[in-house]
Amino acid sequence: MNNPKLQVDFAGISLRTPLVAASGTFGFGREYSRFGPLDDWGAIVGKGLTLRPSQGNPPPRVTETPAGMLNSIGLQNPGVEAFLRDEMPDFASLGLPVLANISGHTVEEYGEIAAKLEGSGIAGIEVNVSCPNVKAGGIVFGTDPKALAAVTRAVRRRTGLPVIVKLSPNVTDVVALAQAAEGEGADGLSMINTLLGMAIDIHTRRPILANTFGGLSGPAIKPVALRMIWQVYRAVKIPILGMGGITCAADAIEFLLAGASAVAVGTGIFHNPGIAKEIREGIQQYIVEKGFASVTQLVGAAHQDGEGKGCGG
Amino acid sequence: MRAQQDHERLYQTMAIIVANIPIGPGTYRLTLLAPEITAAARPGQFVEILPGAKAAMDPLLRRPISICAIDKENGRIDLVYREVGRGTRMLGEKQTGEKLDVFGPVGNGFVLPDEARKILLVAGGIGMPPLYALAQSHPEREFVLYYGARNQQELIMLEDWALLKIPVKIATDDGSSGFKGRVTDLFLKEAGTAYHLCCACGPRPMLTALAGILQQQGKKGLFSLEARMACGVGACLGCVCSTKHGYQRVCVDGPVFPAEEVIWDE
Repeated sequence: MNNPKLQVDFAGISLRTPLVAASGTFGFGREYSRFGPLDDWGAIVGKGLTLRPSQGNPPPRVTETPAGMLNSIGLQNPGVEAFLRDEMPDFASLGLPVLANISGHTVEEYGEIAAKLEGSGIAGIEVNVSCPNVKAGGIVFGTDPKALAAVTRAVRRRTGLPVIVKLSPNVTDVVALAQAAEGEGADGLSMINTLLGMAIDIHTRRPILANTFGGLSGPAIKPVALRMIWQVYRAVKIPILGMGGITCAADAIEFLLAGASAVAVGTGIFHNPGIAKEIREGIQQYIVEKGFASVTQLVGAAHQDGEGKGCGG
Repeated sequence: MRAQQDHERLYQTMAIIVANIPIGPGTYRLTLLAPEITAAARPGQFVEILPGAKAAMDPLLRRPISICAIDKENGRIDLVYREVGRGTRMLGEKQTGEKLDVFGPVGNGFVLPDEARKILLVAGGIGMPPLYALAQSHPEREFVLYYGARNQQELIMLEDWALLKIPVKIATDDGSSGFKGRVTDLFLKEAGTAYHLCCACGPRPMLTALAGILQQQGKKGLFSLEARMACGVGACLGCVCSTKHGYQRVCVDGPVFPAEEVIWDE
């Protein structure tokens, strides 16, 4: 199964394939293990964690939209301590690197959660400053470069683990936020989180989601994600975990070419639980057919003018 | 009621359509050849069907559809669905011999306590099919079906229930067949209390009313719920319902919940 051509190093984490299961779409791994081994995945980012348990938003929480879906889960999770006690033992024994996704109500909380994860077997921390579904713990920190810098600094100080900051697309200038994270020592960036959206039931004349707004994901947002990754790739040196609407190998290759060093799949898993195998095989075939030595040669290869770091992570 | 266990395998397969026959207004009975799913299936579980081609990204999400009949010998399951939206309309156009991307079986299913000898079934509209799988799988128990629909045309599978020799008490909104009015009113009027368990599936208002009746009678109920779903495996937490134990996932903690544990006035 292991193919050296598909191995990538992302922010100091060694991935056997460049495919990562996106936070919030894969639980803590066990649900999709029921289909069989997770051999095609390079890493898993767990469901978003907060310091204390959170019950999340009331239902309905999801609805389908054209080539996409809206969700307003609202970070339902058991809290970091219960996670470490009840979930981490199984999560850590899935046979691949597992990352924690964290959200705080305050800058200090981010640091506190990060510190608790130290030494737990977690391979890295994805810092969620971009959840559109909760007032705290997310988007307030992800739309202001100064606030994002403060969160990054707080996490950086409390952990030696790789720190990956997950960026929101709900901003005017994503590059300023990417640079703020890089400036405070982030090891990598995840992008993009969901786009804020809504849907209305014309029969009840009310918003479908109980939370009114939700995060839009799926193929509908892919062009936005690609554009933002392209822009950020040219402006920072740290590697990018690219995501937003990937559902096939061609999509994943586009993200790599735009500058992502690895790619995450989320909503696409709901469409096809076997998606990782198809994407891995597709990337492998593409590399062979096009004569590349490894997947890292694809990273940023669409930037023909030589802009961007072109380092492949 | 326990959740579906983590060690129970899920199978994603290209199931072959054996039949896709209209059996009522906009309502179809779909027979799928899917041996692995069938071998593992229990009544009250469902499958997740991709209505379009795998490469088509719209509609994006799978459709959860209850298992209506389980034919272990031939590796076939029957599903009954009504065309209510884009996905189910696409399913209605599928022909025999075509393949469908399906995974399952999902959910806890109906787990009957041994002492439940006499079981009353209450169905509302397209909620009836999973109760058929339940009755079919338990020939050792005594069942009576209370079946509500808008009108006579929407009553389906009556001949199948006759084959199982299960009495069917009918209620229709317009009185075109059986009792005129709600199935829960018919239940209150005729069911009495000489039964051990009530299993139900149907619209939320029906289940809410029925839960109230059972509570007054001091009877147990196992109700199958519906919800908007995304992943269908318990990962996304999109389909939760309010219960006395907090939010629970309809897909794998359910879809069957003890009536007394659900918070109905949400």
